Amino acid sequence: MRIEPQILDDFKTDRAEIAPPLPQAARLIPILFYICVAASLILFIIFTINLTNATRQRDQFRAKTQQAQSELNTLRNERASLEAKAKRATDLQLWTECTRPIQPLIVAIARSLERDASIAELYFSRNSASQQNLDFRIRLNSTSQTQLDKVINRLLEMRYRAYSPEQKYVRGQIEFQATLIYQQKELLREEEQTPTAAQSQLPSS
Amino acid sequence: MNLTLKDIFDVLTFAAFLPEPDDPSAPWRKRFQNRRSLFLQIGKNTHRWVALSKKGTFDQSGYFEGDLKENLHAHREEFRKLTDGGWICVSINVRYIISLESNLSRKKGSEQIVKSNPRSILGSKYEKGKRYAVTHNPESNSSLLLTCEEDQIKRIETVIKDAGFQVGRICVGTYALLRHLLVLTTSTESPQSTQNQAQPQNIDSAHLYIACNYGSISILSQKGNQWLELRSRTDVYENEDYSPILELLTPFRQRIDVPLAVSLISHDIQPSLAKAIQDFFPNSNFKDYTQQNQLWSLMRDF
Repeated sequence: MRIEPQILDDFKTDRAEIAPPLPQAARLIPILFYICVAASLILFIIFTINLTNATRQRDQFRAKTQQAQSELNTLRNERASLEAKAKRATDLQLWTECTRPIQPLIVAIARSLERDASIAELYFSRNSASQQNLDFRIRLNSTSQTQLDKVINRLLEMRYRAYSPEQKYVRGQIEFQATLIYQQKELLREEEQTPTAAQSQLPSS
Repeated sequence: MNLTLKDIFDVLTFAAFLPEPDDPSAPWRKRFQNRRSLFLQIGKNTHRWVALSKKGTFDQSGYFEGDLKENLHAHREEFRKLTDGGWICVSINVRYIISLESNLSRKKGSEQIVKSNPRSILGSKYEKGKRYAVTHNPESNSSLLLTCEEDQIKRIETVIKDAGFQVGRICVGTYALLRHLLVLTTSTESPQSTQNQAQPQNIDSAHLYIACNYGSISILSQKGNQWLELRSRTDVYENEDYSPILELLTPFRQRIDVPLAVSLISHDIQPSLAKAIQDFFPNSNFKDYTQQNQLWSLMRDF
């Protein structure tokens, strides 16, 4: 004889809505839920840390970029400044080079000045019609015709002949302007044979 | 099906995978895992209680005398602190009848059906206004029938609810002890049991089952595999005066003339009771199956 053990007798008035417990296999549902929550939390922490690092790296990169841009701008400005200086130097060099042919002319004029004479204004310009000719203008702080003749002689020595000269006296100054024509050697010899040719064109004082 | 927020919360807290506190189909231990509850035995005049801790141990115990309602109200705050949710497991030790019946319906699940539909199991023995529990003898047509008045049950439920507590179970301790004793002895009689258990193997041998519970007693005599006679009384004895028990046992001793085994179970270990009964049946094979806190342990484990 064997009597099976069972739950104790229960005389209480049972509720109608007593539900049986859920099957134990369904415990996987809340377990999976908690695993998902924990995984989400872990991933959230990882992503937050990564996001923070990425943001910090981005800011650092932006700062580096801005610094590099600033340095680049500084270098560009320095380069532009240097290029401007180089251009001015090149221009000066070019100007010096282009004025080299008339420098002896200027030196000769300056050496022709007497002690009490000075140059108030000296102007040279290439003639637009004939590049070999020079438009010449000089204003001397002197009223001496001798001084002017010395200048003209010097010009002649430098193989420049004054063409269409104009001379006038203004307030104690002599202003002379003419077109200087460079004389070839052959032409110069011919002129030397007729010495009055240049002087005849000079206006009488 | 309406899914409420509480249902979702219960799933997430795993409470939905445990039986409800008042689910009669589940053992008390499974209903109250890691929860405190109170066990209360209602007697005629003396009511005993014991607190079950979260670990499943009995921490505090006590008793009070007099009217149940007044005492519950008086101890309400104390008991509230000892329970989670105010759940109480009640054992009735008064106004119940345990009888031996024969030819009750043995249909499948009849021991459960008798609670919801007693008429189908008891037939003409059914009486309106009573609640029943039954234990069948698997080897004969006899059955133990526990009867309790429905009014008494409802009155106890009302008293407990009025005091602010909830009823998880109402059982009869003496019937539970007797049934447990039958389970224990029949399991040791099985072929798988150890051979040194001194149990009657002869079909003509006699067996006397004695269940004592705080003054109440049930005595069942068995010859072979047949249950012969049952006597059940409440408030028979007090303290260590066991003479009323021995008076009840006298007719059994006089009628049995074959080798006798006597099995005893009590609400708690009582060496003096065991000695008294053993001395009363000097030539019998006596065994005391009582464990410490036997009644409360039974209510906790089943």
